[in-house]
Amino acid sequence: MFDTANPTAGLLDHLDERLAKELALIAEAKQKGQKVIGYFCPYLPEELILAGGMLPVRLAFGGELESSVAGEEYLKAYSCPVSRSCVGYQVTGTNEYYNMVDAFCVTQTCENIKHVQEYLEKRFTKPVFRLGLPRTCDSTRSRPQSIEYFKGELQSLRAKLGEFGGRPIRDLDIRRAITLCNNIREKLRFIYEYPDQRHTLLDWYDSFRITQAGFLVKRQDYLKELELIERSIIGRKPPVEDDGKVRMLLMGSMLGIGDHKIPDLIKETGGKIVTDNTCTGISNSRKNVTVFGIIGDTMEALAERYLYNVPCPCMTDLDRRLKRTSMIIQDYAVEGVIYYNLKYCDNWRTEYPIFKDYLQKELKMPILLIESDYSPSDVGTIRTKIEAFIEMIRGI
Amino acid sequence: MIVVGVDIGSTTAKAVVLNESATIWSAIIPSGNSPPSAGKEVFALAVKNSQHTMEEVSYVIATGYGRVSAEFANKTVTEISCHGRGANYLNPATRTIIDIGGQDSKAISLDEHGKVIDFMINDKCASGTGRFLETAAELVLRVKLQDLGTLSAKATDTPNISSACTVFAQTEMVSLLATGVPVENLVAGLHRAVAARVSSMVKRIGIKPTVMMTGGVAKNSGVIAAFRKELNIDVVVPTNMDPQLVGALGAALIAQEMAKNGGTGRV
Repeated sequence: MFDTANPTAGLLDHLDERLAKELALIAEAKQKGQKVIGYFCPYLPEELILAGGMLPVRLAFGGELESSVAGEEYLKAYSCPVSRSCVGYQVTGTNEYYNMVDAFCVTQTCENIKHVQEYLEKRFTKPVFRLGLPRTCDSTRSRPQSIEYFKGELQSLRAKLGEFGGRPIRDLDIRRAITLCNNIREKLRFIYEYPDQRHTLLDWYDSFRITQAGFLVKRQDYLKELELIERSIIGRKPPVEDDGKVRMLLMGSMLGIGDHKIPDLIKETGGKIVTDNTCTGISNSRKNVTVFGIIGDTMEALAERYLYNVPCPCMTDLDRRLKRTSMIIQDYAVEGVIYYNLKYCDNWRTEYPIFKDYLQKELKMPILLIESDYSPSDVGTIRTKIEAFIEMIRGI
Repeated sequence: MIVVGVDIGSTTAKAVVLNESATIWSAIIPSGNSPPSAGKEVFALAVKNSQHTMEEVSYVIATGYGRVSAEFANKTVTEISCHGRGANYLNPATRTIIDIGGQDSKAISLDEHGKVIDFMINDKCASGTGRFLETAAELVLRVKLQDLGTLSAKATDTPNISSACTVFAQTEMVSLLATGVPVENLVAGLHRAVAARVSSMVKRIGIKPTVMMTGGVAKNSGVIAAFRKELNIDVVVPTNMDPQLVGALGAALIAQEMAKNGGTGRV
């Protein structure tokens, strides 16, 4: 029953089966009148959608050339592949999750995603609810103002979602949704860090799959899936011997569901990702939403959690991200950093020289820039780059 | 003990044979349309040149973009590590390597032990590669690739070729030819364009002397001169060896160490 040579064999089977049924289940829920809300960025508190009795679906898909090319019909060829795909799926109609969406929630983050919102609204005439975001700064002066503004935006989104869902969103429902989402985050953290960050039972590739399943699977059921995984790993011993592979941190642009070119190449060339700092990875489970007691302000709690947790260079302080990156490097005993830049994701690309300088000088940490998109044409050179990077770290 | 390094590039395949007393034999052939067979062929040719037999070869390392299909190799190592090792062997003072091959250009930074500490590969487009010079020489200027160096030495002026794109740069050259600009001046402009393009990449990893240039394009004295001017620093080329062979030499040197370590251990 328990394969000691491969202790994680079959661990994700149940989740995979559940994921395979998801579209049919969403279709069924829609038939019964439930609304599906699609969103992109992790700045959006799912709690509001759940509290309104609707189904949140995070449309963080990537890696598909066809849709990214189809998006060029509207966006620029030098818009990032993520944004081109967001629009491209509307053009091709090939992504079933997109096809299920009744309304979109779009955060006002980077320019690319803003254009996506405009096209969804104007060209594809979809209901779109916008969520404004303050550019955050860590100074004590601006923080209260940022929170105040974001809280106002959340209030307004709550009202619009309530109207769209057919009933006002009550505070009690938000509290329940917060509890559900916090439970999910806690389970995810437990699964990732069992028993500690350096010797996990599931490798990063598994944890990434688990996280991304949580963008799609109905959240109440997803929690049950996580409990199942948790129960089956308790008591199992992770392999503690060093497999000799170079421990990598993967950071940078959005790594969407289906965008596995770079993770695969890292694996193939003898490296291994031990953790990530991307908006579709581990950062999603990082912090709980903390409401203080029965009189605590739920909206303020959401604003606090969501505003300061995403590693997006277009929204947050560089110093904060440099600090966070060095903490991750220490916690996970990272030996090399892969800085993934999706072409035309300008914020990450522009900051690269600063990151490189900081990591090389302050932390003596090797870093490699990989610029890529969803086309397979650069696989050969990227393989050479990663191989050379590993040779550089290990010696030949 | 005989070891071999085989560097299968986009344009040429190179092989270097080494014995215990560091005697070097080599071979260079065009990669043609089949890099796997070119690799095999150049390997056999270099061994033949060394008067040794295939049976005597104890370890082979393949490098270059065709390394993936080199079934005869005991191990593959990237061009970056091989150029680093080769350049360090030829001149231990080397800290920066500029390698321009047929379809890409690289900048490699070495520490005082010859260890690679940083590198960059330009793979975005053909400008700043051997192919850029080849197409410009043969299709636009109608001169031989190997004559570019001597031609540019005769230039009286260096016109500005501003386009970073190989295709547009050719259009630009055609217009300059039409206005009566002599070919040798255009060649000098071409060299400056390549040097400027690659220099911006080299500057990103930092330029530390000694700077060595390797790869086929290093045989072009005009490009070397353009780099010296562009970087404002001396740029050396290997004196006792064809610069095109540095990658294969590095592969052979690594092969020698691996063979000594029983073929498995890390150096």
